Amino acid sequence: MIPFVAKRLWNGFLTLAALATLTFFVMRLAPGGPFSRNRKISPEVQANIEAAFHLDEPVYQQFARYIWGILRGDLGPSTRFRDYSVNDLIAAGLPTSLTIGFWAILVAALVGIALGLAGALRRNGWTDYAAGAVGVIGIAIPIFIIGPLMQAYFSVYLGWLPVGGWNDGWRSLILPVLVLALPNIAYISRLTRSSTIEVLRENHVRTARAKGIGPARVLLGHAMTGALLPVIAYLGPASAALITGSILIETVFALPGIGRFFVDAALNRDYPLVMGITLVYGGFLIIFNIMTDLVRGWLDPRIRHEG
Amino acid sequence: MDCETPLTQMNTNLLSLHDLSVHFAHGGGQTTVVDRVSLTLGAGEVLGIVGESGSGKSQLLFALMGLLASNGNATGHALFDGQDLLSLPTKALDRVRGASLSMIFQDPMTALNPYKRIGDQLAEGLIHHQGLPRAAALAEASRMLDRVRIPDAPRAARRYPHEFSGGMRQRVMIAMALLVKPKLLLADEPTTALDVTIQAQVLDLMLEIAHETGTAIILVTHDLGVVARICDRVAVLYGGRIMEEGPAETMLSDPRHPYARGLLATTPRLEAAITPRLPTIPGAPRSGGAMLPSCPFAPRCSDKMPACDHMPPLRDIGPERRLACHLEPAP
Ligand SMILES: Nc1ncnc2c1ncn2[C@@H]1O[C@H](COP(=O)(O)OP(=O)(O)OP(=O)(O)O)[C@@H](O)[C@H]1O
Ligand SMILES: [Mg+2]
Repeated sequence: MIPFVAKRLWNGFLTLAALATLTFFVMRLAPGGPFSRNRKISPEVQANIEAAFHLDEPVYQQFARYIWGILRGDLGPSTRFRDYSVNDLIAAGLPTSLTIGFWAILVAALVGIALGLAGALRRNGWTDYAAGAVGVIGIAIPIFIIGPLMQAYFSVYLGWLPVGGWNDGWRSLILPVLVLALPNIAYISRLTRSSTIEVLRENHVRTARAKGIGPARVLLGHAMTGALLPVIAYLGPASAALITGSILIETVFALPGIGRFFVDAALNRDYPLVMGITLVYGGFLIIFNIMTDLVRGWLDPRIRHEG
Repeated sequence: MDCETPLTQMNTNLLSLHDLSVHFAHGGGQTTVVDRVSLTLGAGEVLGIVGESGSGKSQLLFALMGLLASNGNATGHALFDGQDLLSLPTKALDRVRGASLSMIFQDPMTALNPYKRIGDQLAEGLIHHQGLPRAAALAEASRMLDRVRIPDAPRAARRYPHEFSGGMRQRVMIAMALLVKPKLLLADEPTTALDVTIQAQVLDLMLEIAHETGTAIILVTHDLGVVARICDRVAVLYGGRIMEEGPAETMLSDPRHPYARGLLATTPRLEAAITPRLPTIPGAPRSGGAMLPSCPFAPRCSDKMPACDHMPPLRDIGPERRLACHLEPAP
């Protein structure tokens, strides 16, 4: 188990390093810079600003500065929000994104797995049809349509919940979490349903039934592990994507998360902020992938022993 | 127990099957793969079931265990220990299977749970049915693993199935099925996964443990040598029907059904403990169709006659011997 974990941590570190390098150079390749505007500014001012952000240095020096900053946990200054560092901005936006993402993935996992199991155990029962309907709606209708529809109904028509914003405590959470969870509920329930049906047909589940230990134990003790492994494999990367903020959700519901900062930063060529958010996302993705691998290794000895 | 049906009252056998059939539904139609099988088995007896691939041997055993696929259903009666296995609700069936009735499955590579230590998989039945504490059950399990000659049993009990070879897994299956000291063991080709040189050894081991606990066995096999060596009685299955049935000794030395004769004629040395798979008989095995009125073997039979358009009933043709063929005149 220790080499198994160590190997994954090392791989994660390498991936993150590659990601940092790649984002740095891809950003430099794009034409224009943070301060190339249509508006004319005097060459002296331009030079001053560039010097302040070290843009006058040779690229390798900028790169070294950037990497050294990352190693110290400093992502540099933002070029768009000049009074703030990238660290400040991420610290301001991340909690919102994390909160929404956390609840969305929790709701999606619990509801999705429950619906999927119910569907697999009572095929063609009403829960199966209900889950199927949720699946079609959740996958076929995009967030930017279902979001405004829900706002129109629950917020404008019924007046139960705020239309958007982040100032109404838990009530601000409900709609974004629901809308974000819905496509994932759909996907997870379908995944759970099909993998459960498949596992229930496996020979070792038949062996378990032959032991006379009862349907509940057969399901929980023997079928569940195999049925959930694919779901866990999906949940890892999906969690990383959800908790680091959905650009669409944060736009539709006017939420101050890092997804919106990212759009803003990309549109304004705010290199440090784009790179910072990319790294945060990459970091979360790597951490969640490692966690996924650990859980799968813990559940499946064959994965664990493979190393 | 339940002594209301006359069938039960008359019966002193451990297991008696009356017209057991297995049907599979598919696409609006229905296939019959086990067709009106009637058999009896006394306590401690060893019954061999032989027949080529697809003749319904495994489905017959699955029907008894309540393990048919979801599109399958069994009709008829299977009285075991005074209860009709085919009409028991799941809850009552779960008190029987894994306790007084257990099964060794055909494919050891996939029959064990890959996510659980084998010790736990063995102990589970003891904990559930006999209420043993976990530690005691694990100790029993590793003792049983030792008995089926798994090296370093206490350590092996902490391993997972993928760490064992096919042969070792089959021993684990045997240990698992016998650990609960069942009254009846259904063994579906329990030695096919094993090296030919140790098949006999493992089979003897299984038999030895079964004898100690007075366990009766239904042994499905392709191996007539094995039948000759260890079975008290043998039933020949073809196309889901019993063609001939009787004491192993007399049946193997004097088979009456053309199919049984064909099987034996093409088996070179019966004395040899180890023979490969069943010899081939010209023609293709009948694939399960609707319940045909004709004898399923007729298309391949060299002694076919007009009467074969109607399947003859299984009738007595001598001491404990039964045959379903028009060749033998009624006594
Ligand atoms: N779920 C199912 N639906 C339809 N037909 C099935 C199903 N399961 C098994 N069968 C059919 O039942 C027949 C008997 O199968 P069975 O497994 O009992 O054969 P067998 O005698 O055990 O053969 P083998 O020696 O190869 O194990 C086969 O023709 C098979 O195709
Ligand atoms: Mg079989």
